[in-house]
Amino acid sequence: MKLIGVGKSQHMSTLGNWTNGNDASVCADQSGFAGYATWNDWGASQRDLYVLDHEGNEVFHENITSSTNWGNSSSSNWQELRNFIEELISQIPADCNPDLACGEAITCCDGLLYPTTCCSENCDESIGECECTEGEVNNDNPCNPMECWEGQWIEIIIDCAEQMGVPCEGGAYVPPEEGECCSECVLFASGDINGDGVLNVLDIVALVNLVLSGNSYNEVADMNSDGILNVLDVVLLVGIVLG
Amino acid sequence: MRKIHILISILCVSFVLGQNDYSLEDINSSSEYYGEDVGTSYFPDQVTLHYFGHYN
Repeated sequence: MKLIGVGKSQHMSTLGNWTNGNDASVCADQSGFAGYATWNDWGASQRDLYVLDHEGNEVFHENITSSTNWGNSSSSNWQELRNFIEELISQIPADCNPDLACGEAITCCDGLLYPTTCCSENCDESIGECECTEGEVNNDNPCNPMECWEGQWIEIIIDCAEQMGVPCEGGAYVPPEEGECCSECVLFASGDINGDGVLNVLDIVALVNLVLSGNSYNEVADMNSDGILNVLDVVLLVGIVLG
Repeated sequence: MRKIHILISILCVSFVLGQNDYSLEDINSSSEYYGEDVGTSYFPDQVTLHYFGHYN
């Protein structure tokens, strides 16, 4: 808020009465061809007080000569005026520059979405709230995971080799584990215990014998590569053969 | 002719400054705007109070 006192040039000999202990702007309207131009333009009389809002619109005008209504600074008139001015100040928009060069992209700033990369710095209004937090991941559907980017969920499309028709040469596709999307191409070398180049029930039988016999470790038979030959390898091999 | 010229000048100044605006020198040496021409448009985007008065 700025206070400006507008006097008249012919009365400036008593300027000190205005400025004593006061750092507000004080001006002297000059007498001219048509009198005091500023006073005339405003239609002002002695002790008229005007309040203009941040857009320059006159929102208050009253003569404060009356000592009854305006003599005491703690009077209700002054309190109401203070409240009114505080309300006007609260209506002033935040500093922004509408001429800023901004990128045309929806951007999340402080939890709110804006139409450009400048957020509110170019005086743009928010177009809504951000959907998510930057970097947040949603993997509820492993075949359609989503990642939060610029306040919005971005879908990630996963193209699985099997669905794309990529052959699993020398092996077979194993169904994906929980939380995974794509089948895994498991080469026949793993599981082809009899070495005939084909994965079939003969390999299953051979694996079962290995597991039950407790013989030394066989890397080809270790279907899950955990360093142990057990029923888990048998189940995995059965799945491949039957799949 | 001289009076017409002066009248035109006054009208032009009025149109330039617009309603509720002025530009007068700040003569309060304690003011941070001392020596500058101030008025409504000098303080854009601010609430301004204008008190018209003088000591006789």
